Amino acid sequence: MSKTYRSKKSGQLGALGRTLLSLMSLGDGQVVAVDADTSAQPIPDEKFMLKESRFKDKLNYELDLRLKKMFKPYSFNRTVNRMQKIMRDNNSLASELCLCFSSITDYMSAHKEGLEACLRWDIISGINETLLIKVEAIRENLAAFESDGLDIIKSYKEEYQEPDLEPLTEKAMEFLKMYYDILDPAYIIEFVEDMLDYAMESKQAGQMKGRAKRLHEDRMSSLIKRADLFKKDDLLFELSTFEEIMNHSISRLREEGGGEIPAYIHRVDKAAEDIKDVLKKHNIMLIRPEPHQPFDPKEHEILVAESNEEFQKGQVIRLLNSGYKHNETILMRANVIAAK
Amino acid sequence: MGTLGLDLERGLFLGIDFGTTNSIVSLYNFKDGEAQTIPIDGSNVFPTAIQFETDPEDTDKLSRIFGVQAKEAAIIYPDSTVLSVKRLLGSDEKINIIVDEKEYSFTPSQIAGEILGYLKQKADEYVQEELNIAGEFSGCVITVPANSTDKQKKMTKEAAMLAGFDENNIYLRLEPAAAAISYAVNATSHKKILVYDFGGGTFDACILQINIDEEMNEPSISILSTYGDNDLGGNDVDKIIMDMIYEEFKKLTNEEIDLFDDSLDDGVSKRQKKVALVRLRQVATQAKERLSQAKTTKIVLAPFIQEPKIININMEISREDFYSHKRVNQLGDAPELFEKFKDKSVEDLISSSLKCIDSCLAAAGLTEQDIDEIFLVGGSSSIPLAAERVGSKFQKEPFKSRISPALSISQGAACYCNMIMMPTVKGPTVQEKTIHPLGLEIAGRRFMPIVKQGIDIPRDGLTIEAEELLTTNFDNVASMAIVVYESTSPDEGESQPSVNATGMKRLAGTSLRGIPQGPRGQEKVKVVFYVGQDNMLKVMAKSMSLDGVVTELSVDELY
Repeated sequence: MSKTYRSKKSGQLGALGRTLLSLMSLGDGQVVAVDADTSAQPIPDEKFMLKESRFKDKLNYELDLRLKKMFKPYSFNRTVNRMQKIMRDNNSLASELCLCFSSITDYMSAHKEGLEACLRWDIISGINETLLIKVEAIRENLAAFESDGLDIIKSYKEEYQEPDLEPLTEKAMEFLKMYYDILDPAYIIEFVEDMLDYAMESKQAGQMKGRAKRLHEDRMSSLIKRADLFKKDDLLFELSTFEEIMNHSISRLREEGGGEIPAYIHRVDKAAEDIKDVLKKHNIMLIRPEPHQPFDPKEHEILVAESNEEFQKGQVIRLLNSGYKHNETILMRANVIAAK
Repeated sequence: MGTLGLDLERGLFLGIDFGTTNSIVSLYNFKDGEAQTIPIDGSNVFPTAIQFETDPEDTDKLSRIFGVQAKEAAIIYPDSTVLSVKRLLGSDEKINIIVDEKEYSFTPSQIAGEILGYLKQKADEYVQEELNIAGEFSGCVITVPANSTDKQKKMTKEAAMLAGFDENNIYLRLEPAAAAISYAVNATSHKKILVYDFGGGTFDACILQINIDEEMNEPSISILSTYGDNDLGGNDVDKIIMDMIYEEFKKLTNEEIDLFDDSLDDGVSKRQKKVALVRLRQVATQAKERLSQAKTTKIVLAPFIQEPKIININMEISREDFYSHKRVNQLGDAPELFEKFKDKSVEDLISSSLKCIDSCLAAAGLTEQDIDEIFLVGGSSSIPLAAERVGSKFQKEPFKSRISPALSISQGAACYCNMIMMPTVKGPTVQEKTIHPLGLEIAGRRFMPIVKQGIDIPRDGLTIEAEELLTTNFDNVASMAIVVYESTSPDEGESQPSVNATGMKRLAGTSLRGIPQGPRGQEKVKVVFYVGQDNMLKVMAKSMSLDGVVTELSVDELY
């Protein structure tokens, strides 16, 4: 089997190194084909012993540096930290939204007597029940998300393997053995760069990197996918139906008013503002198309298409529910009524 | 003396699962040695939809919108949008669309071609931008249903040509075979396979026979039988969950409200009903997916409706309830469709799918014991009960694939692409006489004939050595491309025409690797063509120096 390697550092080689390279290269001095199986020679002991300790230390030190560099994007600590941050961010988003909803139900409990006396107590008690269900559902779904997330992190930790220096040291030594018989021990230290290149470009190094990269990407994407699902199906879905309450039941309360209702509405409006702030803090933006804006299927979803003389075909007539995007990723499209 | 060209230039092949509702494209990633799905417009699943608009620059022309945008717009622009074109492939029916009061007419192949063209363009951009691969997809493998007619296949191929794929590099493979291909490649003995394809709208059972032939790179997969139900799919399973929620809703409202009757004055506006039904569908689909993973799930719709009073749905459904609930409500379905699913549970639907399997086995003259492996395909196959029931029927666990059932056909098509790019490719039929000249590509992208046309093929095969030895055309070359062509056009007198000339058909390609290096022209390569009566062409290339290397290439099933 023939192997090739590319020497990138020929400028740093000593005189012998350069001679060696020119011996090894064909024409342009870049690409060399060496047959590892047939050229491997045992290293003459007495020759190698002279430099062995200094040489091996240097080799392992350099190899370790390179391994760390190669593994940096997939390092254990970095990956676990990122995963834990995703968990923390989602936990705080969910908890903050629950607090917003609870601020309304807490207000209701504190002012129950006055509110019960209002004409539209039926609506208020309905809203209250809805919000209590929402908070309970979010808490349960958060617990389910956290349990799944922790399982993903656990499986990552269990399957992670520390990069192993030994096979690479062997690979580097294999390269040395190929040329040792024509190498002057005085210059052996300058041969290290080429040995490192050979070791780092070996199949073993590639497999190690591939394994770490695959594990990292696989678990990271599972967690991100699960977190997005939690955001979309559990949190934003609850916000969407809360928006329906604002648009419908709260609007009716606003119209009918009376007694302590304005104070209650004030509390609800405050909670709605707080929700916007929470979303902003977590980089979640609202998608709210205006009437007459052209329908954009990337950001909008048509729930109802109506014929309407005041609107041109394809224009948004009314927004039903806001959409949400996180950075530029659309998490949920805005529900609209559009003109047909 | 001929000189071989250096580059294979074989182009890239795209694996396409061209579906009625959705299409998925994949490519074979050589670096990772596995198929990967290419996201189109940010999603693995691309709605098979197109919408036409008047070109704002030139009002006599049409511009096009594809995928999710077209599908979404269909509700506003039904006359200028085409959905489900696959159903029309195979018929001569024209597709008429109206854009700004002007009428246009297309054939189904043209519409499918437009959509495939968009998929090709997006896939080209993806490999160039994301994978840094220069070039574009010149060939493809498109999957077609197991029971496709010749006309459907012909029209699918026509669509791919219109999309810009090279006519000679369009391959059709059967959907169930694609789903099982990565398994078939690793099979070491003849196998019989059941493919259980439970999609969104249809169910198909198919029995495949995999034959192993050491000589061929692509395993031979033949269809023993197929049996399906065009009205049985995951959508019907969603309806059962919707029915469970609707029953709860009816209880909470004393059956005073009918969300499916817009005309009924029950205190709920038309718009509220519409929104409530959208929510009902959303949570039903979510709940189905959750029940594939968990034993129970909660369904929360807070609020479900707000008028005449606020109604919240807050219920827990267990897997057992989900499997055994018998559907009660029509849920807006047509009466004849509802008749089919009335009083039916998920268990019943899966039993119906098992009956299809029985018919499929009977048609092939087989029993459960004859089946070696079971493949679950299609999104609805992820319902655990499907795997359990099929598993217990056959007394064996379905094959565990790493690929999600929804992507397996497309990724299988990509695996086929890999095989097609490998040396063994279908080529022309050779019977007793050679029909067309066969030869090699040489430097300057020219064709050097080696086997002339009209030569008798003896019983033990015809062996012809190239009259000239080939030489390297650069210094220190370590490998040479060996690309075999057939010249199907009548002899036009030119001895070495371009391989791009009309009638030139690329049959196969490989490389002769490990050639001893030396100055250009020093190394000579002998090429021998062997044409057998078993429809096989073998090409042997050998470098002539003492430590020379040999490569062999076979082209099977010439036609």
